[in-house]
Amino acid sequence: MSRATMALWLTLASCGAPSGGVNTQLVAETPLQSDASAGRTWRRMNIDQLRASIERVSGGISWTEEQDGVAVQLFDSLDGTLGKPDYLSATEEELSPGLLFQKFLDDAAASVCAQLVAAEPGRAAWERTLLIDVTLADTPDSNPAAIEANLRGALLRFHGREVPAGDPSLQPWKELIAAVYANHGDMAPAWQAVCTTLIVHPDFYRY
Amino acid sequence: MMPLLMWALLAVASADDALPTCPTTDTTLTGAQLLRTLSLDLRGVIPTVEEYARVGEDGSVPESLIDAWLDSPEFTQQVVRHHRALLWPNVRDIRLLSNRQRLILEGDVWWRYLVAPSYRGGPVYCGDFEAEWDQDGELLRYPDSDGNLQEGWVWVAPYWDPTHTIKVCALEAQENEVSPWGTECDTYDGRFDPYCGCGPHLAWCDTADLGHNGDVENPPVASAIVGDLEQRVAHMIDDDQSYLELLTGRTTYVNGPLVHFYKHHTDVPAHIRFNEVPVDPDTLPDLDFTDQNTWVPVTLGPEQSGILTSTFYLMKYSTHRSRANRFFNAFLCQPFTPPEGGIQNLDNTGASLNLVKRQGCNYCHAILEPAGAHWARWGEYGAGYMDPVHFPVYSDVCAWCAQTGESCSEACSTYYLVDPQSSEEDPYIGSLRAFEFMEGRNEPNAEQGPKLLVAHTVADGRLPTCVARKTASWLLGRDVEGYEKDWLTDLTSDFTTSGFRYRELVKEIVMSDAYRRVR
Repeated sequence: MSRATMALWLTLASCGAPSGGVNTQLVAETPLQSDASAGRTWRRMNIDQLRASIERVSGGISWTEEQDGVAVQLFDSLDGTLGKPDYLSATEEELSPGLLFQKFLDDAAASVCAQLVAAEPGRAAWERTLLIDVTLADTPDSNPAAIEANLRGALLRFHGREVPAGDPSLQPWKELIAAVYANHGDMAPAWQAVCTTLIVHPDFYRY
Repeated sequence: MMPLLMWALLAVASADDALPTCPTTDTTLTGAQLLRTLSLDLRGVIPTVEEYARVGEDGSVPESLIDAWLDSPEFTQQVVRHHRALLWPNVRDIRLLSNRQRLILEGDVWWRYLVAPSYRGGPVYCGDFEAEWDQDGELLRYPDSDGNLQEGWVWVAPYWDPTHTIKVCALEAQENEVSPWGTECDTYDGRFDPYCGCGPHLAWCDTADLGHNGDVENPPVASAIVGDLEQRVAHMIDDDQSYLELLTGRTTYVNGPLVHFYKHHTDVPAHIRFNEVPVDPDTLPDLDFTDQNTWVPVTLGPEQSGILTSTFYLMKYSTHRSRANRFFNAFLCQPFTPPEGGIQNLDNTGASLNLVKRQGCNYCHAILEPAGAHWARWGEYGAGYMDPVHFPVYSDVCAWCAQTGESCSEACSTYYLVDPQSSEEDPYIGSLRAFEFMEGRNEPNAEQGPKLLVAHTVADGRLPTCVARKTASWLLGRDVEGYEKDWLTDLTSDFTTSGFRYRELVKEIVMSDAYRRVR
C-alpha cells in the first residue's frame, strides 16, 4: 500500500470517529450556552445497518463466502471483529471507521459488487439496482449520456446525493469508468469499480 | 480487486468537491441526507430511491413518512437494539442445568458420564446392543471385564427432535417420575438413584448442542431468556404501552424452550437457583421445545416489576447491588463512580461489615444498599420471588439451628444468616440475609420491590430525564450537553405528558433542529 493510499485511508477512517467514551455523568448544571453548534455527530453505520444497506443497494445480495460447502454469512461470523458487542466480552459498540473496518468493507464491497454486476443483466428492469439507465454495451464513447444518468441514479441510491445533470462532481466517476473500461475493454469491471467505490466511500457508511 | 479499488478511490478523490475528507463543522443536512439519516436511525437501513422522491423541494421530509417509519416493525427492532446497549442481554456464560444431566455420545449411543457410576459401577456407558428385560421385567445387565454392569440401549424420541429416534442407554432412558426408592427423579436426588433416568423423552437432560452450559453460539434456552426481554421491549412499542410498563409490568413471554425449561429443568439447576420458579409451571402454555419462534404472553404475580424482575435481569445481575447498579446506570444516568482523585485516607481498623458505615465504601454504598434492598425478595444467584409467607424476614427455625449448633437446613444456610462473622451480625441471626443491616426506613423498599424504586425515580424526575437523555444520545451520536439542558427538560416534560410513550419521545428528537444539524 503506497504512502498516499494509506494517507487517504487514514483520512477516511478518521471521519465520524467518536470523540471519546459516552459520558454517563448527570447533566451538569453548567451555564447555558448558545446552541449554535448543537447537532448530531457524523457516525459510522453499525454492522446491522451496513448489512441491511448493502443488501438494499444490491437488491438482496449479501456478503457470503462458501466454507465447507456451506454459504456463510460473513456479517454474522465477523460481527464481533467488526465491533458488534456480544455483551459478555464487549459491552460497547465499536463504531470507529478504523483500518480493520475498512479492510472488511473492501472485502464485502468487492464480493457483493462482483455478484451484483454479474446478476444485473439477467434481472428484470424493476429488479435492477445498478444498471438502470445503461446496459453493459453502453460505453463512455457510445452513450455518455446514459452513463451519466446511471451514475446520478447510483449516487442517489447509494449516497443519498441528488446530483444535477452535468454537475462537476460527476467527473471523477466518469473518469473512473473510462479508465477501467480502457484497461479491460469491458464495462462490467467498470461498473463493478463504481459499485465498490460507492460502498467504501464515507458517504455510504457515514451518516 | 484491491489495486483497482485503491486506484478508483484516488481517482474519485481527485476532484475537490468529491474529496472524501472530514466534513466541515455544523452542517445542516439536505432533505435527502435527512431522509437517509432518519431511515438509518428509525429503520436500520438506507431509503429506497422511491422514498427519496418524497423529500419536498424545500428539503422537508413529510411527517407522515416519519410516522409510518415509527410505526414499522423495523423501528421496533431499532428500539430493541438500543435497549440491548442498556441491558447487555447475554447469559450464555451462566450454566443453567447441572452437568450431571448432560448426555454425551459414545458411537451413536447417548449416556451420562457423571451419573454412570451410580448405574453401572463406573464411568462406562451401556453395551452397544438393544436392551432386554427378563420375564419379571428386570433389565438384563452383563458384567464387563472391570466388573461394571452394562445394559443395552433403547430407542427414544427426544424432546428436542421428537420426529427422530436416537439410541439411549436404557438406564438413562428410564421414565420414572418417582423411583421405587421414593426419589423424585426430576430433582437433584435423582442423580444418585439408579432407578431414575432422564424422564419421558429425556425431558430432564440435555446435550452439548442444546447448550445449557453455554458452549454453543445460540443455545435455545439462554437465547429464549434474552428473547423474553426483547419481546417485552418490542411489545412496549408495538402495543403503544407506557415506557413504565417495561419497568413495572407483569407480563412475561415464553417460547417452547422456555416452557420446557421452566417445567422440567428448574429442579436441577447449576449456577442459578430456581428454588422459587420465575413462572408457575401451571400457568405455562402447551408449547413443544421445538416451538422456538412462538412467543406467548404469561401474566405473572403482583410482585413483578417488568424487566427488573425478569429471569434475564435476575440472572445477568445476580446480586442486589449489581441489580441496583445496572438500574442506576441504564435508567437514572447515575453511575457509581468514586470522587475525583479516588477515596483517600482510609483507615480499615475495626472495619464494619456494614458497608453503609464502613469508611470509604459508604461513598457509594450509602446509596447502593438502600437501592439494592428493592431486590431483597428476589434471591441472589436465583431467579425467583421469595414470598413473605415462605420466607419470613425472621425465622425461628434458622435462628435456633444457628444458636444451638444443630445442623441447619439448606434453606436456612442459603437464605438466612446462620453463620455470623462477628458480633456486629449477632442481632441479625435468623434473619434473611438480604435484610441484614437494613435500616427500618428501607424495609418498604424490600417489601414493595423495584416497582417502588421506579415510582420514586419517576416522581423525582430522574428516570424520565435519563430515558430522554439516553434516547437523545442514541439518535444524536453524542451525549446531551450542558447547554442543552432546557431542551432535555422539554423532552422530559413532553415524554411524561405523553404518558411515557417512547415513540413520541423519539419523534420529538428526530424532528428537532438539533437532529437536522450535523457536525
